[in-house]
Amino acid sequence: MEKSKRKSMIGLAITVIIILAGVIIAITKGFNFDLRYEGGKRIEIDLGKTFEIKDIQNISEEVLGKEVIVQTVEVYNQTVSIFAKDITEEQRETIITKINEKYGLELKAEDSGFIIVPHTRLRDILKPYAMPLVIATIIILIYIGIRYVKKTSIEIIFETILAIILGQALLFSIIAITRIPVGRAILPMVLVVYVLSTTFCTTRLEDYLAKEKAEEEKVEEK
Amino acid sequence: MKGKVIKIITILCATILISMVGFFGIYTQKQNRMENVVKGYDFAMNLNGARVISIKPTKDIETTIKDAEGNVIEEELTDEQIQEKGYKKEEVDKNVQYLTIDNFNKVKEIVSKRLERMKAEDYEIKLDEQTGEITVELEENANTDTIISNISKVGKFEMVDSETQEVLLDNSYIKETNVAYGGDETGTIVCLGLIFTDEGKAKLEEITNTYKKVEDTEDEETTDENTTDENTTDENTTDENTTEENATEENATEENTTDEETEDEETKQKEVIMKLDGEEMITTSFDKPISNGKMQLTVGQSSTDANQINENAKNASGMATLIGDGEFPMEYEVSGNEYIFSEITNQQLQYLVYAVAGIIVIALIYLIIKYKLRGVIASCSFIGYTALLLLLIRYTNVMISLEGIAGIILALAISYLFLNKLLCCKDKKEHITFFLKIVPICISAITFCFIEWAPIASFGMVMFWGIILTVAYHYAVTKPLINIIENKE
Repeated sequence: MEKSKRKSMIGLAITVIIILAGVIIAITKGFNFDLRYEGGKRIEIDLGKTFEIKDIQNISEEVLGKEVIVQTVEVYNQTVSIFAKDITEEQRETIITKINEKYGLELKAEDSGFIIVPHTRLRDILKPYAMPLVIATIIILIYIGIRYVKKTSIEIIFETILAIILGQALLFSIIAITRIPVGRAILPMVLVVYVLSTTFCTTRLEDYLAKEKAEEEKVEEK
Repeated sequence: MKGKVIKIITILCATILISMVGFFGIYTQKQNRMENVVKGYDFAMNLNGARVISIKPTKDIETTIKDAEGNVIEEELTDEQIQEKGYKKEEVDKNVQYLTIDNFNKVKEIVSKRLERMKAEDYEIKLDEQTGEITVELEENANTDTIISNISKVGKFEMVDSETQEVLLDNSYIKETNVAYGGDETGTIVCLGLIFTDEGKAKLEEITNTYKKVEDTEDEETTDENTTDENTTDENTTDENTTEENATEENATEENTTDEETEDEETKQKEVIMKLDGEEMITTSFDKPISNGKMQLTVGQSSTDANQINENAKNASGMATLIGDGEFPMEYEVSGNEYIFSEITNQQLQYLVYAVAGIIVIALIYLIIKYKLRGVIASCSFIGYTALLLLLIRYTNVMISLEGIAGIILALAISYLFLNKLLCCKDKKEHITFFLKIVPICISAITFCFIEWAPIASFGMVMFWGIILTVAYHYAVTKPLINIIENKE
């Protein structure tokens, strides 16, 4: 019993250390946003004929480096959007020249103006997730209150809330420490971590109940 | 013995068939080409693409010509004349005073509110703090164009005097807006409901008192007169009294013409014009004073035609959105509107599928090593489950987003864990305990199904069907299969 308690205390201490480190890094360095959320410059090129996105991707990566997003604009597959952290006029001209060479076109660099893509704030990304998670948490807490009515105390409710908060804090701390780019993949992670952290609480409670029942049965047998 | 083998073979064949349909589809020849008749996946904004709308502050450029000393030249000059005389042409944006970060943020907040109110299921909003340009990435559906048409409008509501154009009420007095429906003999009426603040309530009462319908007074007078006439027939005394009164009135009129004018003004119908973004919505007067701070304006005409009612409701909803969420501090215009495909390519999705498939294969090999023949049967059954889940989410119109994919992976994990439980524990209590442990996942799944935010709903729906299928499929298919093998062993 003491061993398991010690283990969980060590686990909690490690979690707290990771969270603290994450908070410090998040405050000092901020999160490493991916290009989509970081913002940058975008150019749109109307080729006037269908193209292979792979070709444009290769040309863009050649000129702008690996961190570039190439997307098709509209359904006709004749316009392409190239999005990078920064695109200089020279780079734009090189891209256009290379596209002209590849597709035998006579496009001009001036025809594809720069579009500034602003940065997306983390709170704007997470905002739509807050209310659903709060609603689900309240229902789960009510369930816990009913299901574990004998064991329910403020402590259990507090533990469940703490597990949810710690789960999310741990996720964002790991993201901050490891400098994983904050992008679209983060949001599914938030949901997965949320359901896992709530399940962790009920698993512990169910195991505890099972143990207690087994002990009671043992006593009865004796 | 033979019967059991046939049973196993039948179930396995059915599982393989479902897997083939689920993973590869059913192809039939259609106009000289093979076409998959199995329903495709509905992808959400983050996997499919989005309508990208940009709005920016409208520029109101004023051109002034100045001489070398900076004095403004009033006369109209051509560019050549300006050059000849050494003047300078300066272009100044009249709206420059409004271009502040606070105003930009306010506009962004209003746009967010409008999107929420118009039930945009998935969007991303970005603000360029330098220029005030707001970029909204919006899911493409039947509602998108309506949303776009309302995004850039200022939303300035005014109630003005029809003659003096004096502003009597504006957005600041409105607390809430809504759309209400009513009915009469001619059909359904769609109304725009305006609920005023406490201050607005008092002001509305005062306005509705001032702009009360004169018609009513006239009617009342006519009724009175008629009544009087009737009375006159019955009682002569009344008639006399009335004549005397009239005579007195006439005398008074002759004596003072100013009084007559004042009285005329009083009897003249005063009306208010309700404007939205400078456009007249309605010109009206009021039957009686409104003291409860609630006003309903009929949008369109009463109709029995469903399309017309929908159209009226759409218009009313648009107005309610614009008026209810406050007005922009300055004018905005749409600077871009295009559909951009997702940066997540099919190839990237394929890599993800391969990665998940790889993990599943490893997990199934583990099952086979651990449980031998039972493991093989359980693995086949698990593949059938995966195929059936993929079919189920397609035919229940679940929108697949990145969150939905996470939901699929989580559902597969739950199913795998339950499969393990089926293989290692025969005790039903253990199975029940397993489901009791994942109750929070079930609660979250059901809750998320009702959320209007598409990525969360996608996650919830996938999880919901995943859990339902885990219970139904493993009890109906996997457990009987395992039981047959166990009995054989």
